[in-house]
Amino acid sequence: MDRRDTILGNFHETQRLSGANWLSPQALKAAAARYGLSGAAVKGVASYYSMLSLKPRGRILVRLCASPVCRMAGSLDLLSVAAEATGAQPGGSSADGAFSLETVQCLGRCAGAPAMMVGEAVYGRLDPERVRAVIAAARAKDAGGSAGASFASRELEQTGYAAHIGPGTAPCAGEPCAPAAPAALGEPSPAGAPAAAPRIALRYPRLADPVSAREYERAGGYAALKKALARPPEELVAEFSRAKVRGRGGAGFPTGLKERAAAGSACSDEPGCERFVVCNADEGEPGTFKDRIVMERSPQLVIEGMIISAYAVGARRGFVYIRGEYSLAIERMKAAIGSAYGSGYLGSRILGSDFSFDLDIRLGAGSYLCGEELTLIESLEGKRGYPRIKPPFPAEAGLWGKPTLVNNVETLAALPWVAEFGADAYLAFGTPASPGAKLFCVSGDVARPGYGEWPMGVRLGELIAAAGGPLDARGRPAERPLAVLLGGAAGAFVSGESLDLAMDYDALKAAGAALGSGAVIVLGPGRSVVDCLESIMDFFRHESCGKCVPCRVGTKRLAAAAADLAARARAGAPEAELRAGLSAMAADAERIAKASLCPLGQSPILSLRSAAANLTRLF
Amino acid sequence: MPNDKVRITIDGKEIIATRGALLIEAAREAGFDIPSLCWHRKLSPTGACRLCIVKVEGMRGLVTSCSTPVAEGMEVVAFDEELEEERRFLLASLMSEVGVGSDGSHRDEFAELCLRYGLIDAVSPARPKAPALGLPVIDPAQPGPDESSPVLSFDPAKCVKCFRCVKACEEVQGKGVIGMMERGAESYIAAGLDGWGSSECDGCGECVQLCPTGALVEKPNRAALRAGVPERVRTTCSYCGVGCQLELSILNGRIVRADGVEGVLPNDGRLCVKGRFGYDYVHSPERLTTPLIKERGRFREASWDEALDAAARGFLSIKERHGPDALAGYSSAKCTNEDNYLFQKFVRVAFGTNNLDYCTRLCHASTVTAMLKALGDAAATNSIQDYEDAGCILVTGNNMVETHPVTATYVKRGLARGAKLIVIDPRWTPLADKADVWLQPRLGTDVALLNGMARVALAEGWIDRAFIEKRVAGGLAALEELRAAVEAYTPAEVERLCGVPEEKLREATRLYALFGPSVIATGMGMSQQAVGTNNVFALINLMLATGQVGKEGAGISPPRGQNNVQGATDVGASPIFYPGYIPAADDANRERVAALWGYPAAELPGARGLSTVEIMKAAGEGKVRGLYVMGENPLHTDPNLNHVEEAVERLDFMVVQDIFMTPTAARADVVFPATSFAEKDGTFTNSDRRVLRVRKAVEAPGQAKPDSWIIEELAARMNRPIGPAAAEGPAAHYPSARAVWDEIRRAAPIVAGISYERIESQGIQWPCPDEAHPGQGTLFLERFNTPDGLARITPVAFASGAEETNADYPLLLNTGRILYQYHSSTMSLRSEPLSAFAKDSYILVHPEDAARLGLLDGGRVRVASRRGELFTTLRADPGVTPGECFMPFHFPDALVNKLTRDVLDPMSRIAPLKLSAVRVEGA
Repeated sequence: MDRRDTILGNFHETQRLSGANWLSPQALKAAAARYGLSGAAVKGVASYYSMLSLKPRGRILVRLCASPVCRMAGSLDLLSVAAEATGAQPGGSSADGAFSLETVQCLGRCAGAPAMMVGEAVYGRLDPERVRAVIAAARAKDAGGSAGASFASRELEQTGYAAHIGPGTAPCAGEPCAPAAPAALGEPSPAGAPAAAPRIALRYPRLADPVSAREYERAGGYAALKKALARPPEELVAEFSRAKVRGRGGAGFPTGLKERAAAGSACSDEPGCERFVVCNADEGEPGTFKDRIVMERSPQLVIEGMIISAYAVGARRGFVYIRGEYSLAIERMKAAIGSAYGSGYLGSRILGSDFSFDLDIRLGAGSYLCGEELTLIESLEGKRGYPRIKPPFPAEAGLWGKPTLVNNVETLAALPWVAEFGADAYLAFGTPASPGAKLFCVSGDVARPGYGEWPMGVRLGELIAAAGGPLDARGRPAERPLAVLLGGAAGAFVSGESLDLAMDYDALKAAGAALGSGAVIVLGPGRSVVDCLESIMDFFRHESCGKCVPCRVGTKRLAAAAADLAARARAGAPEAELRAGLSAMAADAERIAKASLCPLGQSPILSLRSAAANLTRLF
Repeated sequence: MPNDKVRITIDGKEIIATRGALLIEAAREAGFDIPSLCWHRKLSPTGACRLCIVKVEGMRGLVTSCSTPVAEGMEVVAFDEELEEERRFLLASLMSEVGVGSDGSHRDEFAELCLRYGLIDAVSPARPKAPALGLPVIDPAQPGPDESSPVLSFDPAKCVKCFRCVKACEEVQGKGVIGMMERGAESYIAAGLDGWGSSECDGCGECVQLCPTGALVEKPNRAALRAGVPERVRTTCSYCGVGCQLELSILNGRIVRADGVEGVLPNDGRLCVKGRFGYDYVHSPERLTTPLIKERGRFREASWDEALDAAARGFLSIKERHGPDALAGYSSAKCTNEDNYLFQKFVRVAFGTNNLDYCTRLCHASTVTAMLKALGDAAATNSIQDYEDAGCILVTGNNMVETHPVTATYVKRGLARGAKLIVIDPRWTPLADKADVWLQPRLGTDVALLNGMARVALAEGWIDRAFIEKRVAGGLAALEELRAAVEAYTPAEVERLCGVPEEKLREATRLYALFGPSVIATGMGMSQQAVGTNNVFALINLMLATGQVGKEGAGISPPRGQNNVQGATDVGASPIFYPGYIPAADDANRERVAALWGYPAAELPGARGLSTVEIMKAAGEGKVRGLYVMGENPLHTDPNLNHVEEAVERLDFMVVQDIFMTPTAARADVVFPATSFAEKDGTFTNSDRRVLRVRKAVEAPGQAKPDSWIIEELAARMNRPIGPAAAEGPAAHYPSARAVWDEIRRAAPIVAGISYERIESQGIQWPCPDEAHPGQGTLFLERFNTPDGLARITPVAFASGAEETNADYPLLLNTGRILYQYHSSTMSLRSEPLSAFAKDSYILVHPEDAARLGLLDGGRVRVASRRGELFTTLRADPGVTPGECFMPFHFPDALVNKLTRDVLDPMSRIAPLKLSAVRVEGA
């Protein structure tokens, strides 16, 4: 019998080969036998994840993004276009069995909104004409006998749609890039001394073959690993602690503390205590796509970060848990791991040291909640994405109950830099409490949506300016935004007036917001914050796991209330009435948050409360 | 403050709590009734309903008391306005999801809480929808009720999604049949891929017992349960030897429900499908209700006086003409200790013979023989709950998931905690899937396999020298004898003889020897062989060499098949033992017992009596002429049935007392209608030596009478009363079952300290010599029960226990039991729920053999041995080894014992009910 952690990957594969993008009862029975599970256990897992279907679907899945940024860009209006082009109603399949049409939560293409997935490929900057063209092309391909699953990799390359807008040279060829920024700013000099602005997660230029360990090595990669392996592990942990590296997934928890806990955790009875490192690549926060960029662009950097953190905490085995929608990132990470094995960076006795480390990929299958670290561990173990009760934290009892270090992609991408140049160099950037650099994703009503890496504490206005400045709802340049949603759906609104806000953990906290994942979603004049709240509440309703009562029932109630409020706003209800409705929702969300089991139920209150408190205007 | 206690403060009141306890437990114990729906004592914390939120000084936000262990100095707010308001909010939230109240047949904890928080006016079946939160979110797409199970119904509309059923199935019973489907507000509970009926659900009903709202209810007696408030009676299950504590619900004199009793051993609330749903045989219209006398080959109804006189006359006349040893009695493992005690007293006093036995001879006589010789006691060395804490569990010839389902739950819980499992069985059993190593030896090759394991342990040094020196007779010299005896059983030789690969043999030995404490669950796969005693000796040798006995959690346990197999021998239903395993051949013992019974010692027989199969053989030879059978069914259960039929035919006189007209009763001259377990008081003793109370719950049907009364009456009418001894001689009757038990305590020192008062709520394990003694969980911690206190290694050589196969009889037939039927199925086939799961016989044949023989899955076949034949249905099953086949022995439509042999194991006189050479052909 196989260990069940491969079950989601197995489901993806079974679904792909089924001809109808589904898991048949026979397939579920086969999985039950293979994994030694009961029928209900297998069906429970399969039915939990959005990407898996227990009903036959079309050969090609068309999935339109319905998360807040794409909705702002009109994605839901394209549903009828897609329905007409595919012959499938939303949630249904076409009569000829070619297509199924679905909506999907954030695809991480917010800079190219609106976006949709067709098979494995993602298309952005959609308009009705492009939707029809893409679907027609897919139909032609389907008729030509090649399944929707085997889209050519050239089409996968179309998935960027995100401009690099940060300081420094454009990091990539072939991607729509920002106009020239101050040259070479932040590129580390050969001597290793960083320049004025940091390039940490984006430090390597885009390589001709981004997955190749050898090419990465020629570009300077794995130098950090060599340095790290020459030092005692506890010294590395101390270095990361001193550098005040903080988790880039959203919570900002000090990485060094996590590492120390995982390294020092009392171990199990087995001889040679087993520990794990897990890369959280389940990026799903609306407005956020930085981890995707890092994985697609520098997969070897993520791997190097994994090896270094594994060495630091004494883990011999690691997993990268990637959300199933990130097909290109999955492909790149898989190939990069293969290449790293081939070059001796993974496997036994790495670089001739005593240290051995094995790394595998595990796939998510459509659940935002699995980005929460304990839920991620449940999902990685092949279970339904239910949050675990904490304590214990993963450092004490994580994967299979063993000490486990879970770090976000961007966090891991920072570790080689710190290992190579030292804590002092890292501390030279950013603010004293939030040193280093951060990836920001700017989307919504801006001229040039994109991403970049800035020192911590960069002004909000600077980010928006780098994205070409604010637009209004109809795409015309605007003086200032109506509002900015920081941190995605689980984030908070700040007023369009607060462009001086310093983007670091503490300053934002003081302003009643949070840095979160680094998403900056700009709502221009002419937008309705209430509409945005409707999509946010719908998002949480969709992503609530349903385990605890307040969140399960509450997110559904909030989604209904938000829809009602948005309808009233469209019908011209006065601002005062809307504010009253908003307050009622906030009060409800407060009670939901109080008793909820995990961060998801505690999230709706953030946008509601901040909208009520920080915004002088809702539209 | 003792080290295991902590001091905490709740709402300003200081309480002392057990260290490590969950806050909710500690608070409730101290009288703070913190509400909860998802938390249950037996389950891991879920944290789903959130109702148990409290405030803890120094902890952020509201924390769930179900997931927070108490800590010294903890300051807790359990009730304040904010918490109560939040709880009301949570209940109102749930009310908007759950529209319908339970039907009144089950406690509805949710409705009770809604009432407590002022959200409804009364706990009534029709719980109103919540107006409180405005937006009803009941999902119209929610699936409808699932009625597909034969034993339970599930209504999602009443479900609060608390996960208690999911966890009851997964964590308590180790089955995992129930799951949560979909997610968020659309999530719902379901079983299997397509509902309960087609799922792996085996009907144990743990989910029903733990459901807080009545969303999951049992199917039987629905209307009655809705209508009335039942009376409840606690008793002990009448099926297998686990001795589960039951609470029967009684309405209008009928049992309408059985629940497990929570919080007491051995089962802590758990039951299996038989215990929970198999009680309806008690009210079967086929119950015997009138004494019957056979005249001219037909039964006629008779009065008790007539029937008892006829029986007494019949036995007396044989005794007068042929002497006491022409009489014999079959006692019953289904009857209480008190009944069995009286029966053996009757046979010894009224018949005047030791020709006395019961079905134990067919089950574990070989185990008993080997254990008695090697260890000094034949009962389980361990408690059932030891399986949960064991380091390694060795299950051999024991399909406990089906035969002792509640024992298996402890094993599965042990595995969940990381225990290792070795399964030795020629046939696939459900535990084989969970085993670290499954050894699949050919039928009848156990000695070779176990000698091979002993050889591996010796060769690798995986032995416990200190233990052997100190606790085994002969010390290391005995070990050397063993080494010489097993030298020939090299891994290669074992592979040749048993078909078990070397690697598996080694790994199994390693796990057993090194991952202790290791506990052995042996079974009838080992014992029911003509070399059964040697099998068990080989097993014990391995156990002694590795030192896996004589310490907490280690040892060997043979789970008893019927509810009171253990107790029946304990109280003397044996051809060689008086109550308490006191040899009957010893004059001093006879003196003592005779004095207790009020008869001269000379009037008690001293000669060794005949055992079960020997009684039948003697009947066949005309030596035994009169037979008294209490609740046994030898015409189904004894080996070589055609021979048994002839033997019974030769009897001059047979009396059977039973609750049904069994094949055996049908051949009797007089039949007494007796009472079921639910109609009498007394005790059963379970497989781990725990004496448990049986309590009368309903009246006996018609004129049926308790076994004890019948025996006492018969004795009196034979002028040998067996009541309590008094100055004027023995009385006719005991005043109560308790009085009988008190005499047993005087006769058998092992139970002397166990009074009815002491076992009112939970049974006590013998040996328990006095009332201050707590009872003994693990045997042999300091000494073995042999005269010198030392265990014996008994080297044994392999000789096949299987019947010779040839071209005419090419397959070896194995026999056994299944979950849904019980013993000769007289009770279980009369239970509707059990029969709904399985009611027809079958034979399992490996698909390769079936193909070779040209037989189809599902086809009718004729199975013949050198002794008889039967017809049944073939099931092609890869779980049996090619060349071997398997039949359950329960079904009257295919009496397997027509095929089996009655040659006996020389040491234990057990018959090889397994391993018959047969031919299977199309019918």
